[in-house]
Amino acid sequence: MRYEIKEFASDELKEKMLFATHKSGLRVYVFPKKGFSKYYAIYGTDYGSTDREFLVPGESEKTVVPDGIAHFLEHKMFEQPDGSNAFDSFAITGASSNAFTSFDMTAYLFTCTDRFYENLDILIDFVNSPYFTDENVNKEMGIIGQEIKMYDDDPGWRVFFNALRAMFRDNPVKIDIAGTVESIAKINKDILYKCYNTFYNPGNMILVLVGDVDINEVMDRLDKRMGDEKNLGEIKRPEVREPAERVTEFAEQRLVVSQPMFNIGFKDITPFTGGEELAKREAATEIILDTLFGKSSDFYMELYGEGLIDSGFSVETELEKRYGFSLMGGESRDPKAVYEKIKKRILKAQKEGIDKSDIERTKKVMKASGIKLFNYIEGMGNAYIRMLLKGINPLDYNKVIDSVTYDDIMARLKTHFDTNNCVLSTVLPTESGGEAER
Amino acid sequence: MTEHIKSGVDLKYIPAEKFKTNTISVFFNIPLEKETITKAALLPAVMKRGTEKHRTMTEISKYLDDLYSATLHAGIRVKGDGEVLYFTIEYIRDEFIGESLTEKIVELMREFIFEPLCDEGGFDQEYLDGEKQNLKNAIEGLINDKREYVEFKCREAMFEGEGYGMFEAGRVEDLPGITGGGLYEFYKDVISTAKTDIFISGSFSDTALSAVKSGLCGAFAERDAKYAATRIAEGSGNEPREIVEEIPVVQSKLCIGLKCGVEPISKMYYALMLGGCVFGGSPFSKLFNNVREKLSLAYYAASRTERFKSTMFISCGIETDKYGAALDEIMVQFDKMKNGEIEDSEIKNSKRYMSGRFTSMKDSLRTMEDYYLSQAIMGSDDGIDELIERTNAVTKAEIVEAFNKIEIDVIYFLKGNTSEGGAE
Repeated sequence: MRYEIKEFASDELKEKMLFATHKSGLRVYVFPKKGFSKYYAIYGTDYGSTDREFLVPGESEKTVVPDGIAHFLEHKMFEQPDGSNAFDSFAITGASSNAFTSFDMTAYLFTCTDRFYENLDILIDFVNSPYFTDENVNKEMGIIGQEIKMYDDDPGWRVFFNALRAMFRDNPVKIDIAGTVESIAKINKDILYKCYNTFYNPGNMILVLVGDVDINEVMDRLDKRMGDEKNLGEIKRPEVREPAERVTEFAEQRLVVSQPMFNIGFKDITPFTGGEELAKREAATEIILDTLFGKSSDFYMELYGEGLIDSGFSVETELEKRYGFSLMGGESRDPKAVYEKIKKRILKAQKEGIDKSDIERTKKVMKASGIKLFNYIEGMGNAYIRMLLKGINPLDYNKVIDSVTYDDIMARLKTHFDTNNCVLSTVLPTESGGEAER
Repeated sequence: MTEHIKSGVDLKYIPAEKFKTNTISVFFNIPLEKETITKAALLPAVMKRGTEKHRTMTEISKYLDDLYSATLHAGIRVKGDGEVLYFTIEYIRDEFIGESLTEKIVELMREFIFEPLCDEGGFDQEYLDGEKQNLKNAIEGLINDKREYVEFKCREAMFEGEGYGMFEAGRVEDLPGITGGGLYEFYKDVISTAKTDIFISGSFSDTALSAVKSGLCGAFAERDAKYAATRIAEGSGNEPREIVEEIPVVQSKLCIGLKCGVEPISKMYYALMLGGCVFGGSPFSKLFNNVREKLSLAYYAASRTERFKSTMFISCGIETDKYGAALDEIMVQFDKMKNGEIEDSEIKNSKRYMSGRFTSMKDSLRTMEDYYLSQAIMGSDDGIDELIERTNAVTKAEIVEAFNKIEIDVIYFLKGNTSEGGAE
């Protein structure tokens, strides 16, 4: 079948993006990279840990599933009906494969330097053919149990989730992506099939390919493997009703760490949208975070000089269609002092504004980062699949940055960075101190 | 390609057109020793704080921003019994921004290396104190990542008293004794006597190339310097030592340290490396398929080999009461390697897997730099294609021979003694 291939190009970057929709409903994006050795394929579904309630197309009652099921499903997809696993198939063609589950996406991926189209066939085939049995589901409990426990001991992960729980009351973003040992115990093959059949339909999926790839060849290969019968149409997900207020200002946990770790969080309460509006909001938020707290800011210099933060201090914002927040995190001997200083700096900016030359410099840095990303085959795929799922064209992002005005930034600063609604999550050393004796 | 600039100073050029950026790096190679390990970790951090011209971090950071977000990385990397202090600046190429930055970057690199901010007594006291505190936090922070922690404790037990057995960030007890003057002496010594490699990678015009030579290479004095040599780890014939450390964590962690006794540029090295992939270096390895997939004992179960020192570390995260079961299974798989119970397909697949990994190195400027630097230190001229060729030539008999040289030295068990994370 012939497909209409849309091309988006950036002349100054000498990069382009090709796009086509397969008859199955699958959206296919190719970022051609000539001269690179590597190919990267990432095949994702718009389905993640936050999808705990949904309406299966054609059903009238909503389905509620155990926490951690999207991640569990990700693990099980590698199992093949013939008893082998997908890693074995990729071993024969020399690819390196993996998968991950996030709040709102599950993705399967490989990198290779040879036999790209064969590897692509393997990827499509294994993600399109679920094989769950009581036995193989049970076997996975032990493996995922160890994964959960590994994260239970990970102070960076704990301080992050405690911040989310302090911010969000009802939004499922607060639930651990892998669930708990108790919640995954409720998972069985029937629930897995139900989730699979709902979310792993091509209309809900996206394929992003980076490397010296011919999109026509890709579409031909897909024609041999996927029909149009599985496209179920829209999956209804109940609107998340999240109160504007934080749950609690402070969250604290004790673990074996050398010094306190912290995450300071601001929840997003503006209604979520996709596309350019979301991109613009994200860019404005990043500009605020970087001008006020970035490495070139007076704030960073002052706190670093006082020994309150070190080079591990970082700021980020994650604005998605169904949740959003901004975080400042790191290690500090005195997280409360950092917290107070961050609030003070925000209040000052809300009152006095932000230096316009700082904003221009930050925009230059953000655009440069966008250019540098084209060096990284996997980095491109990972960043772009997220943007594309949100309805943002990666090649347009520099234009979005330019389009953000001073007024946009000040408006965002006032609505999002509410110093009466932020949280401080800390992980503190256990009483016995960080040093364990042999 | 390598150009010998003067005694002890080489310029290496890795040409590549496909990237949006260029990098310029300087590497100083010194022995990894107790006397200097902490100073070496501290020095790049202090040098990054300010120069005579750009006196504060903010000034540096804003200047880098103006250079289209050029990035400066400085630190240390262990290379067997030696270490390198590195300074790397990555910046966007002319054609994507419409101006040439190379000369400015060369000048900035020269400034970082030759004109760090000092007062009469040596390095700026405030910067020194700040970075000493940061380094103290970094050393103590090893415990924060339990997998990294157990792997280090295992290595420490294997190489007690040697530089290789020390945490590369140094030792807290050294910090009070390091003064601005003392660190400055060390700094002078490094920049004037250490074996120095300057790397430029990406796309350089003749003008840019001569800017590097006159602006940077010319600034280094000649020296009588060699790379720090490494004595490879060899088994002692003793029984493995088992060490147990209890700690209040949920997941227990096991790390097994092995001494391989294989010279890094010998033919046997490639057999060791490829055998390492068959054993525990891939998601189709013996460890992955048995410890994880078949017995569900662990989420991660893997091994890695370290080329310079010829060591291997096997690592997994398990339930406390599964210690015996995990150790037994690892030993079963290890014995299979020694007895040659290896399928041809395992070797074939590992060759493909490693070839892919090696070929991919060509897609990263920094990975290529590190590869060619390591080659130079080991005294090998092999490019990436030769590495692939040598790997593909390995036979099963060679793998078996290499694995029979390996000796288990330390079994380190970080024993979790709590069932849940700390109180919330």
